[in-house]
Amino acid sequence: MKISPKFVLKVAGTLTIISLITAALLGVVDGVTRDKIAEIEAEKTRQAMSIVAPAGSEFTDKLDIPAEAAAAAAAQGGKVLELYGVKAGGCVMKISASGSQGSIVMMVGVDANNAITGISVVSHAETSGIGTKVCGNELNDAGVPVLDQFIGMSGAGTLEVKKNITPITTATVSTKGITTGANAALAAAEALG
Amino acid sequence: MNFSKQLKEGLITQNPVLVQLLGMCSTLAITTSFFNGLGMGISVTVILTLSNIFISLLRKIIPNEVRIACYIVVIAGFVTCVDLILKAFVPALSNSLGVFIPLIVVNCIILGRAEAFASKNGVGAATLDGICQGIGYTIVLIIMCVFRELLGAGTFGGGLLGGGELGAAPGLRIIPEQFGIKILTMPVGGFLTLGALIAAMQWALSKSEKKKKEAK
Amino acid sequence: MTDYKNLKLIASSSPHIRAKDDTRSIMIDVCIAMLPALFVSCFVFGIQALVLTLVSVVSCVFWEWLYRKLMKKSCSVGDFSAVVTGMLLAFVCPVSLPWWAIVIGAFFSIVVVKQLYGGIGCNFLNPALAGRAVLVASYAGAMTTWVTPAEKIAVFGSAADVATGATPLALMKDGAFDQLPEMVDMFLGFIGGSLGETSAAALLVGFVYLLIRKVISWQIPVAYIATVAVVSLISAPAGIGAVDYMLYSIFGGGLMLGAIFMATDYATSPVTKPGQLIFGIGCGLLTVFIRRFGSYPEGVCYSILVMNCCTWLLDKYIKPTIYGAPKKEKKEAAAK
Repeated sequence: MKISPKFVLKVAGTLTIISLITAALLGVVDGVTRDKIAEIEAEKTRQAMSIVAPAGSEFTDKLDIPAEAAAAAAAQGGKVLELYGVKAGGCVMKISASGSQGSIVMMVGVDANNAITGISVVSHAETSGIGTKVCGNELNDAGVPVLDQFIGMSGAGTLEVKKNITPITTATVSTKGITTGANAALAAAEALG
Repeated sequence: MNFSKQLKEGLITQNPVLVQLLGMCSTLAITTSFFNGLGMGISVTVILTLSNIFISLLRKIIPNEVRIACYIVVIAGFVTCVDLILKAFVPALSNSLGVFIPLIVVNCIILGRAEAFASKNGVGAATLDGICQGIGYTIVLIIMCVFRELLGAGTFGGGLLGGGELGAAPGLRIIPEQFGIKILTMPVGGFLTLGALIAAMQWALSKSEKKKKEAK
Repeated sequence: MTDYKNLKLIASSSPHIRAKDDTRSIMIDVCIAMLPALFVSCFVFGIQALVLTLVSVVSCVFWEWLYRKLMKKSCSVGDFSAVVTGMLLAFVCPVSLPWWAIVIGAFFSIVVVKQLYGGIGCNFLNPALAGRAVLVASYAGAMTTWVTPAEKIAVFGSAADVATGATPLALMKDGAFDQLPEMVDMFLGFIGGSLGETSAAALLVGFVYLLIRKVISWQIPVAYIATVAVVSLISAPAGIGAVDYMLYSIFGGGLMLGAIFMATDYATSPVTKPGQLIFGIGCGLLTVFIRRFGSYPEGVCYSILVMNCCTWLLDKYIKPTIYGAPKKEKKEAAAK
């Protein structure tokens, strides 16, 4: 079959014009919503960070993750996703570590002396009714909120469930996931200096 | 213009989810709380109506050879608009629906109606079709949401009722939490619920057909 | 002299000579075979074990009756299959499970898994195990709360009143080999675990009974348990003797119960002997893999459910030989 140039022009032309109109429409909507979305995103990140850092902390913008910090975290079984500095000293990291059903993504704050200032879970896929207790910071077997027990702890690789970390019964695997993340954060912080 | 006939088709005899079996993916994935179902239903209805109008308007211009590409460009444009607007003005809904709003682009209901109806009918009929099919989709979503939320989590109207922020509201507690059959809020619960609904729908349809035959 | 006029003659098509075995007698045999395990369970966990089993049986029969009634189908309660499902469902749940949870589990077992697919013989999953899977997903907390033996618990008591402990499999998963119970207790059933799975001795008694009554054949249970034994023996971790590890693997968890009573379910296991052997080996391998590499300490339930889904495949490729065909023809047919 011979395709006439006129036909090509018609087909390509119509598609191009429709795409252009759609693009223009998108441009308008994007212009209206862009600032608002950026504001909401920044607010969300700031909120998540302020939970794990000391009250009143101010944060830097997102920093690049140095290769040695990423490697140190990986050696502990966790992955550094995002890194922010705290202006008064220390940093806040978004860490991913494997829980019982998938990755647990958490914010971990570390102060200038490489001790944890707080942990909060951002997203997870833990078993409802068991692992969710850990992610929701409920009381552990010793009667302390399970995520709060990490505050003040330091020394990458020294945190271990059933030694210095008390789990919630039946949710040991999820507690181990958090502990892996905490160790990874400490390792990364130590590598940062 | 035949509003009641089209509404009946959208809701019952040609229901997009239960009879045409279109748009299963989002139906299974997001029907866990009332708020999600309503939000998704309205988003799809809006996009479906807009894309139906435009495709109906353009039906004489669009060359047959590239019609699918043109439909997708139009649909993707509207979906991205709705996605951006939701992110900016209803962040709670955007958070809880996540990737399923952008995925409306590949929701078969919209492309299916564009190909089967909007490209063959006038603007008025296409608009009505978009609204009716959208309502049919929304109602099925809401039925599934209410069922799964009530038996799975023991609440009603999660995300909307019961105080608290939009999207984070716990819903009204009807059954104590410990009794909730949590498997219904998981993906497998979606399959079970949808299967039961489709079976019930087919049973009702075949019954009414039998009655019609007997009447003759 | 025979009174031919009043003789009742029934006209029917062949076969005219039937074996006495029917569904009902087979199911009653299975029930009898489960009684020793139930008895030991009552002894170990208290009267609550019996109560939970009764609730389970009654609710299974009730759901079966209700579904058949509502759907205007013939009443199939009399074949005892719902009773067997009820007993097995209770056997795979912890004794401290609240009674209402097992009623919900029975609903899924009977209505969703069995009746919606057409009733007895048409289901492709083992109803009791599928019911358990639903309960584990829905009430993960209550389904993993294990009562330590000889704790007296109140009838219909809540899980909070109960002393709980880790099962031997959970201890093995954590590597806490020094805390494992005595081997004798493992064999007799004085360990934590599901209601009917703890006593290997009682389950073996039931196995022998079923073999003598020719209700089940040896292929699936033996292939299943032997696979688990061999793989555990050659892959035992450091810190425990290989033979000990193998024995704990066999006696711990639901392996005996699953191999003898669940994997041998007629409707959900292959028809042919070679098919049954492959089925058993598959169950065994999956069980060991889930126990060793999965996030759950026990894998019997899921391994049997997965193999249930492969049954049609095994039946398709390993066809039963034609009845009455001479051996030579059989070989030729197989060669083709």
